Amino acid sequence: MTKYLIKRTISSIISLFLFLTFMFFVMQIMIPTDFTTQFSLILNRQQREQLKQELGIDRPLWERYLDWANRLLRGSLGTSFYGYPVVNELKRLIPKTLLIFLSGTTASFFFGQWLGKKAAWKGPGWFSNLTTFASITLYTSFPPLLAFLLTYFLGRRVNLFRAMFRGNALQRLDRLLWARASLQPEQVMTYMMLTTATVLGFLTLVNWSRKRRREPTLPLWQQLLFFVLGTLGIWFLFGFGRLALDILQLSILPILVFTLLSFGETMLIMRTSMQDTLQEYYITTAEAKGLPEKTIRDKHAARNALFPVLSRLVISIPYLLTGMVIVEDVLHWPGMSQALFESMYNQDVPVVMGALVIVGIVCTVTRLVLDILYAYLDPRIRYTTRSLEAI
Amino acid sequence: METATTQKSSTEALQQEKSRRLRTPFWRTFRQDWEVFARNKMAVAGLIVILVFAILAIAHPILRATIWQSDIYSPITGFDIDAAPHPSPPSLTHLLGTDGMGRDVLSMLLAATTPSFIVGVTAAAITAMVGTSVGVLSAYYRGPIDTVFTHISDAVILVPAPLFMVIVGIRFNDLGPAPLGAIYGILAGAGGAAVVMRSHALKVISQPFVSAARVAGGGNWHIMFKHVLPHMWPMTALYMMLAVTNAVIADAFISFGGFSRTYLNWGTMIYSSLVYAEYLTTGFDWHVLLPPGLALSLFAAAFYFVSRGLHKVADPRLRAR
Repeated sequence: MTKYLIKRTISSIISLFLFLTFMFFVMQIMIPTDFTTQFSLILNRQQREQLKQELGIDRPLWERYLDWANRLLRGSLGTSFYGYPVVNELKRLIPKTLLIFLSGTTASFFFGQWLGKKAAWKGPGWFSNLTTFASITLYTSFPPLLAFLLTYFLGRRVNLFRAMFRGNALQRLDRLLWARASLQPEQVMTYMMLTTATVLGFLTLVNWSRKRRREPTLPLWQQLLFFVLGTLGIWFLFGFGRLALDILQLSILPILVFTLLSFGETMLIMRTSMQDTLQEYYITTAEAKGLPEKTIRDKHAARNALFPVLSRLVISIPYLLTGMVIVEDVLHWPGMSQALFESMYNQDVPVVMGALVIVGIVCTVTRLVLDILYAYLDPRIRYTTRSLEAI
Repeated sequence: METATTQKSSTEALQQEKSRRLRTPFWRTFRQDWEVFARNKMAVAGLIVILVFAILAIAHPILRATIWQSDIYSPITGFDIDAAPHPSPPSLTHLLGTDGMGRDVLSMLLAATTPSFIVGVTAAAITAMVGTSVGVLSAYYRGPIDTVFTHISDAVILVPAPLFMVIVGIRFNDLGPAPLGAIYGILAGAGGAAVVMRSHALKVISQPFVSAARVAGGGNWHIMFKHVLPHMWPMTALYMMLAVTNAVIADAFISFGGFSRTYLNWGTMIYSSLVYAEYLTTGFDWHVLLPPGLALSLFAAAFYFVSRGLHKVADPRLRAR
């Protein structure tokens, strides 16, 4: 297991570096003119040359690449062409994107796999037809249009959420509340994610230890109650409960839109995979043994059917993370993907590469975590030292 | 004399039998495959929808040549002065109304079908070629080739498709539908498709008939082409269909960003409709915004359903029971 983990880590770091190199050259070669010629038309030739020298874009491409790689390996992301350090900018942006991305992906994963499981288990009927139709509609519709329509109807027609049509979404936070607070929204978001992860980890630990002692796990409603109360309790205990709730109220629409955009695929894959699994002989065997239906469904079928869903999720994470730009653009949420696209239009190469480093790291880490989970769920993997898709 | 003729006729019969045998397996497998495919009603419906789109694509130039007055119904510069003010609601002369610039929505919708087909077909073909060859090669040779290809495809998986396609759209803003589909195909083929193809090829290669072929003296290329590839095609077809769905949406995404201006597609229509909505006080004109969105969904969904049908064909376990 340790050997497998080390091998996987090394090979994913190599892939990450390959990806960053590729994107660096794509950015440099694809963008037709350089920063100075496009954005400083008022400068004369001499000033322009000087600016080029200052920004370091007068040197040949390979020299720039080596310089950039050298700095990256020493942990520096460089400074933007507009003069600010990239790290500070990213620190401001990452929590906003991750809040939507992580909660949306988790929600869509669990909701999608639950629906797919149910639909396949119940077989043909109105439930299966309805959920499949809804998922296919969500999966094949054009994401920007769908995001726009959802925002339009949920945010403007049904006045459930604070609609965000113009300007910066975060300006709609409760001003009085935030004027008195000493924390910034980004900090609160980071704390929110950390505490939620802690509570979830604690729950997993409890479940695991109960399983270890052969006791039945807690019922779902108790777990949910514990999760909600625990998270809220920690928030209020540390004194940022009101602020967190304010942010949550604002971010619920982006999370909802993102979940709806990404859950169709999960549901469809889970449904087909579950249908395939239900054909297996071991399901018939389990039925013949007279096991309760719930055990067959959740332990024998769903656990095996989950593999294709997980491997698909891994492949689509980069797409989802940068596809966030759709949600962020429509809802004016000032996140990282939007900044990534904006700095690409501005030809601000250091910021783009910095954001891509973050995207790459998030994807690689998620992939590694899922690989470990996979190896834990499926012992065959541990001996083949291959990534998840191999089975 | 007599024996000679019978001998001759018997050799002829033998040859006929031989050629029949050579011919039948393909048709039989095709018919069997079709039976499995046709059992899935939605897949057949998807095929029919694709056919309807193809007919619409062919119908557009014919309609413009016969019923529709060519300059009024031009999908790019058309303007109907009788239907003013624009955007006008659906009427008898303009079945889906006109958009903010006075162009007939139905005509635009039909004109956008051909580019979508071209993007989809090129993307599918390139995805299949790149994905299958990379997958089969790395599964067959293993060793260093496998390591190199696996790392490359792992890196390509990390490339964010929306960003990459927008960069391509900015750099080559005069790119036609076919090269765009090809670029998307390379990206999808070297990334996700190659990984799945590799694992499928590994399963095929571990079967005894491949070792048997090797023992019988078959060369590497012979085994790959004659023994491995025929078992890959249903999986390849499945990925081709998925590539069509994704490529058409990616193409629309570039146009939606406002970057690809050389040809009309559904993404452009949605984009321009939303842009005009910013300047209109009357709210959104749904008859302009929704048809391209619906057409795009239907087009993508049709290919998705066909891919579901092919999945049943591709996986023999599902077929048996």
